[in-house]
Amino acid sequence: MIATTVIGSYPCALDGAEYARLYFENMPSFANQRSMKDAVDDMVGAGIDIVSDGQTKSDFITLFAGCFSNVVMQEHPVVIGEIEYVGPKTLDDQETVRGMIPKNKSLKGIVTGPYTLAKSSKDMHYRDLEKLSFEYARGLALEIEAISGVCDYVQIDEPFFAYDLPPYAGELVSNVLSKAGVPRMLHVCGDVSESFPAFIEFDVDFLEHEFAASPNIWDVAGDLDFGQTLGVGVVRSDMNSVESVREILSRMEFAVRMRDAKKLIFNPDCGLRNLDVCVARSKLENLVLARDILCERDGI
Amino acid sequence: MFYFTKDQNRVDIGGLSIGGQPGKNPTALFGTAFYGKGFQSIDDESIKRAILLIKEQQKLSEQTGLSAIPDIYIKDACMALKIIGATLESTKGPFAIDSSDSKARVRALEAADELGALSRTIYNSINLGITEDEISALKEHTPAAAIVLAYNPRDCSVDGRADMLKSGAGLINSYEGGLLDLARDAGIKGLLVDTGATPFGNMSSEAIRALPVFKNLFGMPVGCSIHNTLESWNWMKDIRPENEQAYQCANACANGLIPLYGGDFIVYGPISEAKLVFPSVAFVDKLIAEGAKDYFNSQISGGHPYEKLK
Repeated sequence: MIATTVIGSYPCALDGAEYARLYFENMPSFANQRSMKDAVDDMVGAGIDIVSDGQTKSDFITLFAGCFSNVVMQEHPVVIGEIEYVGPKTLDDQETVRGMIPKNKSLKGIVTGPYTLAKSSKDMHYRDLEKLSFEYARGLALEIEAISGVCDYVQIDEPFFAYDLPPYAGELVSNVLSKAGVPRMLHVCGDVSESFPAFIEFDVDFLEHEFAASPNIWDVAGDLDFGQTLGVGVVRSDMNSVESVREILSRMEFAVRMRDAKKLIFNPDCGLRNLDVCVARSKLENLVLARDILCERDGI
Repeated sequence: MFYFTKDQNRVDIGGLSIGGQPGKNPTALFGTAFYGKGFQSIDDESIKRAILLIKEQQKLSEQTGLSAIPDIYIKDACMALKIIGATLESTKGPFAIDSSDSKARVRALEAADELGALSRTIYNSINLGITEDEISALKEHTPAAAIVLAYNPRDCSVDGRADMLKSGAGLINSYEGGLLDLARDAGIKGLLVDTGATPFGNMSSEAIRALPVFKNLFGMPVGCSIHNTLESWNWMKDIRPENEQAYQCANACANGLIPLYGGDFIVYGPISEAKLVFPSVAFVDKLIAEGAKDYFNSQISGGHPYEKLK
């Protein structure tokens, strides 16, 4: 059976009225717990094998910039001095999700990559992107070490790698994942066909990309020999409409033709935060249905 | 302590002036009536007790020079007319209508209109849970002023809270835009910004830090109900039954933070706390006014605790 997973973020089902009600009952923390539980319940209910916390609490930059001292949150994180890791920031959430999911489901902890965090920051101290990236990596490695005790997988998100791959990217990835005690995943969204040959040299166990929106990645990935398991995006995260099971199945069939099924997992292209919650849920349900049909039919 | 370069708009309502440069006008204190122990159900007896508390708050205002505004909590929409009617008989000044329930807030607006009291009504509050019915009611029965709540559950930082006011942070179902524009579109002239106190663990200090930031950003009167942070603190909940004084002391301290950081109004919780809150805020107001006069050469309004409490 080919495993299914999510990339990370999930839409928050709570609306303003519900948030307001919880606020006036002096329980805003409960709103965060509720939105996380709703997201996890949807993933589990859809039949996803490796779930995440849904990152419903905050955006992926704010969440991890908060792991560091001397990083002030304004519209972007502003680095005002020598940064120091003060986390862990997401361990409690991972422990909560672990308690929510059945034993036959796995948990993936998601951490924003150091390069993306550095590129998203206004650096008033180091004034050196490479230096800041490695400083972030040093701290995020400790966050990953902390959540590795609870999660079955860890994933770093590095969307900037798609179009802006620094020469030190591989070393950065190795550093940030140096303390991971569980299988390591790298997600880079966008059309990564140019960067993909570099990714396969990285010391990670999984590579996850947007094959549904950018099927041309196969032109490169299909010709290369590499050891990582490939996370194939089979539903789009940029379209607020649900692909049919047939359409998803055809993407999966193509993937199986291109790569050994033992070296594949299926996932959405990227996080689903910007979709309507009913659309996100249906996409996951159809993804799992298509996977079940494929694996049963072909004896995978 | 502070002087803002941004022009500061005041809200003038029912003979009171809220806002302006720090030290200029006394802090406005909203005590919530018809709320808490003894007010789970409203009958003639509980109305009498509430009116007595409103009058006691008014007396403290006259003693100290601080502005007192009864914040009328309406749990049950059916009781709106009766409660507001009784309040109007006990005070000639402004009053706020407050409820966590949108339908009750709408009914309270209608009742205030029926009683001819919209010119001294402060709507508490316009928040992310606002419904289309509520927006229509605000346009039809427009209160003189409204408290606009900056609470943003997705981002409790100062910027996140500002985003709720400016853009709605994508969380308002009934309106495309921020809560300040929503209030202006409804025709409300007097706007007060509540920075949205949150419990510890939810960037609680940002509600205080937002006070001077929002003063300088929006030039409007700002405040919050910081007692909610205190009341949700588990440690304090544990010790309070055996040490009520500790709570009272912490409450006085918490409320003092608001004028200290440039805030103009405090929603201080149950009106029964007035005796505790007024003197402690009067102390902070006097201190700030003295500083404003000594350092910025500011004019202090007549009747301010600075003049009144020698």
